[in-house]
Amino acid sequence: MKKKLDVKRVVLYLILLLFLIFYIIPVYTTLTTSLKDLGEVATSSPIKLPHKIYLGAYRDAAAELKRPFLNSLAFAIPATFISCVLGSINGYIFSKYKFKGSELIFLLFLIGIFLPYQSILIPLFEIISSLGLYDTFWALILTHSAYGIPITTLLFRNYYDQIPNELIEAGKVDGYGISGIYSKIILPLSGPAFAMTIIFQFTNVWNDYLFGLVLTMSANVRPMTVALANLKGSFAAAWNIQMAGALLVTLPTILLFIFLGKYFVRGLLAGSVKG
Amino acid sequence: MARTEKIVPFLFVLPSIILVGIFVYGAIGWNFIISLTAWDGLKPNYDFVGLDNYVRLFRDEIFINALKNNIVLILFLILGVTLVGLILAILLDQNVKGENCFRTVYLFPMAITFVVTATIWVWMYNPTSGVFNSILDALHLGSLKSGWITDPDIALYCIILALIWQFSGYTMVVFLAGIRSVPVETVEAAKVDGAGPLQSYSKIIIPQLTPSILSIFTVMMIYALKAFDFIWVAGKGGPGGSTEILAILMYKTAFLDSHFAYSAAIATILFLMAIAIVLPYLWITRKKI
Repeated sequence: MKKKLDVKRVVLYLILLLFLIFYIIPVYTTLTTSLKDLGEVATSSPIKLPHKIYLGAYRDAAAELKRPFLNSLAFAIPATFISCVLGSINGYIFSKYKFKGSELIFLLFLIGIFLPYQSILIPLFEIISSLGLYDTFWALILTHSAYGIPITTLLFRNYYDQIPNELIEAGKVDGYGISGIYSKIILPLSGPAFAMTIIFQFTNVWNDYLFGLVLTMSANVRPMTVALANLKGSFAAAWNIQMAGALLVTLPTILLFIFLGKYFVRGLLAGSVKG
Repeated sequence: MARTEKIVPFLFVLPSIILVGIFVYGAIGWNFIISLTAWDGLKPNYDFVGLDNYVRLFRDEIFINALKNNIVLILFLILGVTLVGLILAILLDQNVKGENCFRTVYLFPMAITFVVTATIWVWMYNPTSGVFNSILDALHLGSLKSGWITDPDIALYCIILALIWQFSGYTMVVFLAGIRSVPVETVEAAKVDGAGPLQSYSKIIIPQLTPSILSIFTVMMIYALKAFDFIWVAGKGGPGGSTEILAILMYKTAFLDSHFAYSAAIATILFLMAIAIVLPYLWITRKKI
């Protein structure tokens, strides 16, 4: 009986391991390819470790991606900040100060989470152009802030729903108004919600490609994702440079994921299971 | 006093209402208006033509092809991520040592931008020296080698496989949360009644996962409508339109070919499809949101 159980466990771990390999292979081949020189990429199998470690691909990719990396930071940080602050205020109101029509407004915000961005792409381009913001960081800051509001509002509202209303009432007794209660009671309790929403939203904004593609053009504004896609075109056969570039683009979000992954997972779950 | 109490909260959310109002609802309305015009070419032209663009769409083979591809993408992507996610969740629910480690590896593709995953998978699918054909060579299965993403017959399925790789960690997490929220007493009671481990999943636990399945279906269907980034970077909808979905066709029609009104009509269809998926979902889950 005991032995039979062990066989089952072995099979279980074997299947889990097979899946593990399936998930790791793409990353593994990316890594091996990025460390080979072009000659070796062409002649050896991507599964094989590099014969001799070659860092030139990283040098070439970094030269191309250095400026776009700074561009991405320049709009992703403010856009994440703005949509998180707005989301926190909205979440607070929708959770604790329902007013006439607030449920409907909240529902209309929620629909925004599921919006296929193609369905607003032409007007968005027109709005941004008519504001004179085409090909500026402001185009991406404004766009990402606006389309970030629905998900950040939902994440904060779900979080604030767990804060007892008695705390609000106690704040009123102490003579605080609506903004006093927010800054003195709610905000000090919001640390985990901000951590979750900032990480989740920063990843979303950093990873975006469509808005960067449509709203920017010059190398001084273009996000890293667009630059990588262009690199794919200009170094079409240089797979090692492409793979080095891919790893560089993904580095910030992967580091966030490795060190603060639990917040990312919370964001994923809160944004989907409940909403 | 009572009045200001109602107005002040509204003022707090007003900036967001304005932003969402303009960028989401204003833009949807504006897009619909454009779709009713003759705007063709770079210069805006708001001459009203009624539903002409929509009538043309449904006679346009390219549009029908993109719609078909989109439906295939939706069906197989949902099937794939649901199955893989559920299997992984059930396997990880068996008191696995190092569960966190497995979970992290299965989930990390979710944190990567589609531009990167597309770049990586195109390399893996490369017919001459990509990893798929290399593995087949190493296994002496050279006859199974294929053009993968460059073969119009299977390119769409190659993309679906890559997307399953990217998304099944997410569905696994959703299912795992669902499985763990089934009350222990329910499972114990079934065991007392003589249910084996397989039965306790198929009869007791999986039926309780309806909310998880519902949310996965919705999120993934919407994603399949939006799957622009990956497909565009992987091959711009090619070869020969075999991976062209509505989002790709919309982008091409507007921003490469400048048929703005026609493209706006495709955009409206996309929006209506999304709404048809999302509204029932929000209605069913409205008590829990």
